[in-house]
Amino acid sequence: MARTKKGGSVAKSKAMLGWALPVIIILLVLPWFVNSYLLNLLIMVAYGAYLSQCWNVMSGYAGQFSFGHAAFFGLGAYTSSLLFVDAGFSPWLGMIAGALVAGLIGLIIGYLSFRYKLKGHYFALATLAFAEILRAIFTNTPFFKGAMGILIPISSKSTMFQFSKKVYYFYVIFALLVLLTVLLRYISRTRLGLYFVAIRENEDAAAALGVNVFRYKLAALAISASLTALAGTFYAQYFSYIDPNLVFGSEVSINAIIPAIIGGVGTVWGPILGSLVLTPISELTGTLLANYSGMNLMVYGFILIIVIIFLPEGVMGWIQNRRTQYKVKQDKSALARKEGKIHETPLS
Amino acid sequence: MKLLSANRLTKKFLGLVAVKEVDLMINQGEILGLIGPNGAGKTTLFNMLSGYYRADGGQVLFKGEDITNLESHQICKKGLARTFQIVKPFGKLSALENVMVGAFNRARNYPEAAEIAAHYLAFVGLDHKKETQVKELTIGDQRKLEMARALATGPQLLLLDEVMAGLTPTEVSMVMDLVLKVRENGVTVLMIEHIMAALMKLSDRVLVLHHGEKLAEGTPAEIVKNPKVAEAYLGEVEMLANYQ
Repeated sequence: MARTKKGGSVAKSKAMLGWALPVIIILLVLPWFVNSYLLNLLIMVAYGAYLSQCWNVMSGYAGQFSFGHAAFFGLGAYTSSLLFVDAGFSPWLGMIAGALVAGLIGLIIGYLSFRYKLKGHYFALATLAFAEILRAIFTNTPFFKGAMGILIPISSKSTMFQFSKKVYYFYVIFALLVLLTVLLRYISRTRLGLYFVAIRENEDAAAALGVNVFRYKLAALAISASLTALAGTFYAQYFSYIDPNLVFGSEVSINAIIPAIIGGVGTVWGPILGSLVLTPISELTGTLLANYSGMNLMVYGFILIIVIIFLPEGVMGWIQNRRTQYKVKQDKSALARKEGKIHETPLS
Repeated sequence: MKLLSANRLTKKFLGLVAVKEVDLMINQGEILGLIGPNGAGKTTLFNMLSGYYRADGGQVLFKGEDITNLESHQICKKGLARTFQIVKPFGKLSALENVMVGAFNRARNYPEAAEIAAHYLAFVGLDHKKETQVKELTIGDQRKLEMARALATGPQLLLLDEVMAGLTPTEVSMVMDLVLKVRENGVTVLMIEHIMAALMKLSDRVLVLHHGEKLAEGTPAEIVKNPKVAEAYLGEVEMLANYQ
């Protein structure tokens, strides 16, 4: 039986590759033929999807709801930027350093929170608090350049993670997104992924079955934190300016959460679908209503409410439910046909 | 041969002594029944044995090794698995994946875990529900799934906490057969059960808890004749007598 199942999943992933490959090729070529506004939009969609996918690893799969992913994002942005500006290290290296720093701080935050069995809302609040603490520290420490923030000097050298053409930024963030999604798809079919979901669904039951819950929660947090830091470095290099409010602010945390929630928490495609839907809406309301300060956020919020009312389980949840409904309907009609035959016999 | 013994095991909740200096011994290959009126401390005792609660006093020896107050997952690794009185399924996983979580306790890779899981799903009679999301299973099937999950970890001792609660008579007799089959496969069983008929028929020995203390211990025949037990089960005496 195990063999047939394996065969099935191989066939399925081949079919997946069948449509994923053309999409990827189109997305690799397309950026050369669009104007700067659309290119920026493409970058923001990929960036939003990537950020939310990072959050999805820990909060979607392992079920540890974070409201403070800005902490890891900011650490990534600041580590690479400080190393770049003060020590002349390439942000490519800084990116890896940032991931290590964020992973380490993530482990400390996780150790403190999980050690004292913080769960659910309380854990979410703790992560929010840690992000705010970091924001306060970075705002008030001269070594981190305080509230002034850091202006990244422009050199347009690709070795310094700077490009003369925007399209290369798209390639970077798109590559990150594809790699992370492939990785997540892989993990979701391993012991690690199964344990993550088991912990999300019922911690006590998982522990009773031999799962070291504490260790696997820490793993989820560290992986998620390191990956989020990469997005921080990307942000710093793309926008060339960071300050504590921009990268440690709760807006970053929210941006990491919302696409996953709209698209479908704990699914591989959820954050991507979520960003595909939300980022254009957000950008569009931003440009169209630029003259009415704050109006764009109101419209955006209104759209969010509508989506949540009609798709409480996200786009992926809706798709899955439709699939099951369809299956149930088919089963029922098959059954009805069968029963119909049974009833027919005595009549005829 | 002694598989597990608990010495003077005690648990207090804010001054209330839920389990008081209980001694317990389980032999290899035995089915030991644990009974007692509601609130007697049966589940609390289970929770201490399986590492879910920390004991306030006493000691648990498993295969001669001190396992008192180890973490749940460590105790599971040592070969002691449990089910929960209130089922705790992984709702969004399929039945097979649920059991795989248990199977990974000893499997080295995904295919091996799937194989072990499939084996135990078949063992409890759920092989046709492999792909079903467990939240769609009936309570009877969910209880069988809990057993399959616990068995997949490869235990030598299985603690069953009211696996027959809420089942139809047909399902009860199925689960009874299942418990016997578990023992035949070399797994020792400690079970809490409120369905006396089932418990008395299955158990080699029965231990009675009352107000957190051990009231009696002996073969089912001895227990039903014990006047102290009859007193503890005031009003249920006739019910006990029926299974004499």
